[in-house]
Amino acid sequence: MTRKITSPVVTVETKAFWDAARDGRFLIPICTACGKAHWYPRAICPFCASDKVEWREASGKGTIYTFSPMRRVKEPYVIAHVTLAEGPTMLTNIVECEPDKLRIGQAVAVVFQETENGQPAPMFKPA
Amino acid sequence: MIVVMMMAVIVAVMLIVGAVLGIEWRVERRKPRAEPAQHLLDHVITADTQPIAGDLHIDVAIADVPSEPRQLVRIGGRDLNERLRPADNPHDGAIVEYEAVAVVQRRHLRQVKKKLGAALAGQHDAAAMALMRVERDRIDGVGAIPLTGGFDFACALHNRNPRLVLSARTMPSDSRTHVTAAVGGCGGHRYVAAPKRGIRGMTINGKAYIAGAYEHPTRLAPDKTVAQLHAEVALGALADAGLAREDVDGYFCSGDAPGPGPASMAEYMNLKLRHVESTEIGGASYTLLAAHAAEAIALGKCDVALVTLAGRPRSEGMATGTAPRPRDPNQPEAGWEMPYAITTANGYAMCAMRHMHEFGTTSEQLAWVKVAASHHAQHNPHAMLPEVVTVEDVVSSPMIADPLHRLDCCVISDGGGALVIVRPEIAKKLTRPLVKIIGAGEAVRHLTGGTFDLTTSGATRAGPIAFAEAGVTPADIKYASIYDSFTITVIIQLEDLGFCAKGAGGKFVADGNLISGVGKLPFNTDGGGLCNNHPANRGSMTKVIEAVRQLRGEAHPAVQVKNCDLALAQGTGFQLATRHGSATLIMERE
Repeated sequence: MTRKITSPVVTVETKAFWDAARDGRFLIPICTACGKAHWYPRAICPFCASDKVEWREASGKGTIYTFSPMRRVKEPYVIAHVTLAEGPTMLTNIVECEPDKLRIGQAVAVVFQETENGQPAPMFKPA
Repeated sequence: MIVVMMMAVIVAVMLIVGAVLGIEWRVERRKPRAEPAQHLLDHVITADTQPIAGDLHIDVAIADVPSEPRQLVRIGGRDLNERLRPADNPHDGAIVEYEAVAVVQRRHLRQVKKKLGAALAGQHDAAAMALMRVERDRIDGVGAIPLTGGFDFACALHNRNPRLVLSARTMPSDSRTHVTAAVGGCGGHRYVAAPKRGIRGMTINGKAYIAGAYEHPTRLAPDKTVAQLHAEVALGALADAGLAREDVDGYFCSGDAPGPGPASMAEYMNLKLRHVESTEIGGASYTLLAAHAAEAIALGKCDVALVTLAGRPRSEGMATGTAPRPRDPNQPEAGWEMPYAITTANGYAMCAMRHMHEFGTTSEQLAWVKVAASHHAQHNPHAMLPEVVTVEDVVSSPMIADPLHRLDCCVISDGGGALVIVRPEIAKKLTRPLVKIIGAGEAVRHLTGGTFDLTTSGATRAGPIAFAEAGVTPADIKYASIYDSFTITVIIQLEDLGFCAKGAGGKFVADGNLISGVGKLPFNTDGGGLCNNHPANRGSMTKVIEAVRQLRGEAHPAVQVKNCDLALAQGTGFQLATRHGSATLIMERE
């Protein structure tokens, strides 16, 4: 995939995630008050509204909830929602794949892809 | 007196629902009537999206509570006026035919069925089986005062035909005593029941009319500015209503209006306003703003509300569906979406993919939505794509984002539209046919921390609220404008609004079921966003406008729905695969 990947906005709320991504570690926010992981990451738990949210290293494993190969662009890519082993479902891309062979429910694993400014972003490839 | 029976029925179903859901119902007094109401089946309560009517063959109707049980009469479902006649035998009770009303959740439906089944087995004829105990309220001219006690009523199926025979057993002694959760007239007053979820407090039902509606004929406007288009549609709608710019005292616009909020446009058009609003929920903003205009009018905040939409994405060469939209970096989700290049097209495509996976929906079924729109567009001289297409044409058009083909996507067009919404007193002095706003609902849906279902939309919440306020069910709707950014958008909304069961949308739209004069639910008779027009990439304004044309009887004769007295307009804005707004508007011809 040669598509130019737009770099993410990094904020004070999410800097730890993106720093870890540079080390190849995939973090997920987990609320220690209610025990639930959520996505996208934020400082206030969307389930119980607690601010006791901590970063934990995730397994990087998941399954495809849904996906769509984008065809009418110069450099096709696959958009997807992937349900992580830790629970929440995240928007992402499926890479290193044959788009026509993907299916919902397929196991995938995280792989970091470099974006325009060098910041790696988590994507997934068939496991 | 008459309406009693129906009330009983309604109450019964409602109480079942209420008990299970924990919903409380109460009765509100509405405007006093000069004489005791005899029918007034124009408000009916709905509780959720799944209509029980078709399955159960009953309606919950409206009933007055007579002080004397023997005064019971037969009452029909929707066309009460036609069906009112004295009962030959008081034990016949009121006959409620199924075509009208109740909407209950699916699981409650089973409960009702069970009870009716028992009634059927035990009682072949009338009366006798108490369905449930009903709490009642006393209306004493001041407000509803909860009373202890209640009364029973009974029901039985009559000869196994799709009629439910009901009769009240014990009537309250006071003619002003009403069943909780019912609608009707009694004792010189008219009442509407309101669930705490859904209708609460005031209603916009009947409080405002759409007096003017105008769709800009342009589809490509490189020679006009966005502000100019807004002003042109505003003047068009005012002329349609027979009002002047100076009459406008409320202005409603959304994210397409140039400048932050309404100030720039108010200055450009030199409006003198006492009420403004600029809620932004994307393409669904205009079904929402029409309802908010009715709310403002109901509260006396303005008398003549103007709602405008305009834009020129086509002239500006915007890659509406296939390129990511620019983001405010302060949007908290921006960082988590930008690297992945979610676009309008591939986002909705993911919803379609999941819908196909869960329900077996096919590309051919999606295509039927476009086919129906094209059948309508051929009669619209302004339509961008007036050619009739076939299912084969759609599925063989280039793939944009699997599984959506080019012909599953709406057009990109310049243009705009406007509405003028006014107080009833003003509407009745004008010469245009009366189009009354009777119900509305809105919802914002998102990814809920990463736990979501992309096969449903905010219409699961907006729809039931609107139907409850309007007192009608999906089965009553004669014409529906359904936002059609993509074919899948229509299928998901139809399911969520209760026009068919979840997952059955593909089958529902197939074989021309959405084509006026052919299918059961005529939709988007102007050709919709798929074929006619999608000004400013926002579809719900033109949805309201075509609904108004239908209610006025002014749609193209080839697509005009006969006796179109009840219409719905539904919008879905922003991105169905992430965050979106949903707004439902129900209108009635008076």
